[in-house]
Amino acid sequence: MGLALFSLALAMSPSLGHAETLSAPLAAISYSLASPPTQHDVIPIIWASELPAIRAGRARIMAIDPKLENRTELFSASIKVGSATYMLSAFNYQCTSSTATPHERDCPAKLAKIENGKVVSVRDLPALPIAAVRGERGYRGFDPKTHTTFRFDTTTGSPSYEVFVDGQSASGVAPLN
Amino acid sequence: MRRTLIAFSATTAIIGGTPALAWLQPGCANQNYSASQVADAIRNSSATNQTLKNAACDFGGAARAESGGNSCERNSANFGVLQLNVGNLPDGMSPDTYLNLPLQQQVDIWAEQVGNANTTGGYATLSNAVNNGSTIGGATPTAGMLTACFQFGPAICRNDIAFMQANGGACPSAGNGGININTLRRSQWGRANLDGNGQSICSWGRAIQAEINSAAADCKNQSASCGPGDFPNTRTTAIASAAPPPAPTDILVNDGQV
Repeated sequence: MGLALFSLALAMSPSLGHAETLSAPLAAISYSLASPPTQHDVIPIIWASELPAIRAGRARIMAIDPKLENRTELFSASIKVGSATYMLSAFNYQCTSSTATPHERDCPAKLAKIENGKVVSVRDLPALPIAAVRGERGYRGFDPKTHTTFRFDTTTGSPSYEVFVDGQSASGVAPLN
Repeated sequence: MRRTLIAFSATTAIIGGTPALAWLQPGCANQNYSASQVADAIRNSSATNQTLKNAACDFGGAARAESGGNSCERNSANFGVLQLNVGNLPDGMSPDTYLNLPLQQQVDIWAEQVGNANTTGGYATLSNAVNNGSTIGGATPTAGMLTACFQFGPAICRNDIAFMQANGGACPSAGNGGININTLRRSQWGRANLDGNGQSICSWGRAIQAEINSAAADCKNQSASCGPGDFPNTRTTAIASAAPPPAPTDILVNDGQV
């Protein structure tokens, strides 16, 4: 997983310029639950409490459909601020159901701070709105018009998010509580 | 939510962006499962926690209202006996594959992906009111209302509760300022308090409650018989309410790699 995730994260990771608010869209990858994590994969640390249940759940789903791979979707975005990197991530696992809004759901998420290569803090976000457009067999990357954007105000140190649907803001800028 | 049912080939169906019709997956048996059978599948699933098992009959009633108990039912972006949304399907699984699964396996995946979720926001507000015997603006919530909230998702549920609290327990409707999701641009869907069929958690909750009551003689929850107020509030999922402490690690992330 590591190379794929971090290649994608690198592409999505903005650099600190003159702007006071940095942003990066949450993009989806198919995260391997099978292979041992690479040295630089911080997801097993950030999601240490939940990964056993996620792996067990995926194993039960694979027992139903053996053609499926041992992978599940991970939405993530990273923002680098000085020596720290802030990573917002959520699995497509135990998100809210919604028969009314097919491209939006709330998912348990984590906001992690990484310094000098180590995860120094992790904050649980019980219900992060995730906007995304699924393909026939899953989420990959992000839709330019329908996605959730991770924001970070470098002046105040405040993380936030904004949901875009059809190219328009659906949430306004909302604090990450 | 179930809409007018037409049985014809999905390959020739045109959705046209207006989810007005439901249809059955071709080649898929229309089983017409009862609330008790769906409840048994929920209880038999290894993915369901105790809270969900305790409410199995409530979701059995929801399945009857949502799909008529048909595992083959598809409706716009929702699939199967419990109308799992396409966005909640497991990685790698197509909607057609899911639709062709038997009841138990559909329920297993539903439970795995969403069944133990929907425990925050408006759902938690309703659940607490059900368990505490309190009201929403004067209206008494029911198990049917709670499962309607679960099915609709957080936005409509939250907005319905806010409307009820501001209007003495009255539910939104087309006649009193209710906002149908189909009248809004998609970016404004978060403002809706009625689904595309004009249903609120109250009206759809009544439909589900009628199914729960109808099945009550045969469908027994583990802790109580089916009916209003039998939905417990004890969550057992592993979603932490507080951040865990930083984990010691020697796994390093170098600059530019995150």
